[in-house]
Amino acid sequence: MKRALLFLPLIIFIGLGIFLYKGLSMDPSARDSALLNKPLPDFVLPRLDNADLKVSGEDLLGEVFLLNVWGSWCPTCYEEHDQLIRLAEEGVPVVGLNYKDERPKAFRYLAQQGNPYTLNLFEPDGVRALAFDLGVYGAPETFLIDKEGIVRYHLAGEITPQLVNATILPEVRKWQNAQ
Amino acid sequence: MAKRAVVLLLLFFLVPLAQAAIELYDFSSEEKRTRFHELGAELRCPKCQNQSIIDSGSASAYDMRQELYQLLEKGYTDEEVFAHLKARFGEFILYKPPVRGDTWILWFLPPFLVLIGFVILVLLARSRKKQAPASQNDSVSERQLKLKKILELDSEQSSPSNSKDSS
Repeated sequence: MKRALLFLPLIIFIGLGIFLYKGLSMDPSARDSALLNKPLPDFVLPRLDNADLKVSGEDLLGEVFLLNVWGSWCPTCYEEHDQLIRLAEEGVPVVGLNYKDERPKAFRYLAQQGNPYTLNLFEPDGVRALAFDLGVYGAPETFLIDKEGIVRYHLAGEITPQLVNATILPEVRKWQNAQ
Repeated sequence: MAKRAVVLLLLFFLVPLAQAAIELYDFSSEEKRTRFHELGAELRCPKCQNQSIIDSGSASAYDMRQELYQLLEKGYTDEEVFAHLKARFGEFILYKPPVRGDTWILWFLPPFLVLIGFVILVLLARSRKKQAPASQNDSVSERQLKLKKILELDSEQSSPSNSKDSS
């Protein structure tokens, strides 16, 4: 009994080692959105290209679409832009939410990078509307909204080609086919 | 020239003042101001790994401070404030997680470990007491006698070697 107890510190050490080693490969910023499987929050926001035209949630509902939060100040948005263009070419509607940006800079971004968005909403600094209600804390973030307006998938961070193939496109097709 | 230097020096004093004046909240009561700081310290900034929304300088924490201020001015209770923000940013932002099946380890492991440590300490102290009595039964005079013998033996052994060294 006493001899077995001598091994206790070693066992605890190994247990702790495994626990901490696992922690090394985990991404602390990866976490599920609180809005997952909940309806898209109500909102009324102006269009990026025309401040006088207001868009509300009801205007968007009826088809499956991606909501992509972006800003010209966001380096990762440039990185993932090609994937958004590809998704648009695949026929996936991508609604942009221009976040904490300024109109001239956003226009320049779209002119230079290309415009994959069916429509862009504008939520500048100081406004807490759709992005805040969606729990957005950075850019890029991407949400998949189904026909009923329910958030079905959320990604905080870059859309990679692998993610498009393995997750995003299959998810879009799945919810497009859902009754 | 000297005048210019003085003006320049005075300008440096403006820098911290300018930074301190960025955020102003005009609370309708002192009670709300204290609650703002209390609740703000318990809300974790969603963008940062470990900073409260009061401490963090990120844009996301700024938005949450603004929202917290407005919610308090609207008369939200503490629970309503937490529920409102949790519905948007998830449980991640709560520094005090709810006690639940999947969080009990967070709440109860530390006091449990302290308890285990205390039990081990008590057990160790007891086992020492059990080993001790044999020597404690000796009376004081007996122990002194033993000591004397040891000292005598020691001096007998060391004196010849000492004399050799000195000669």
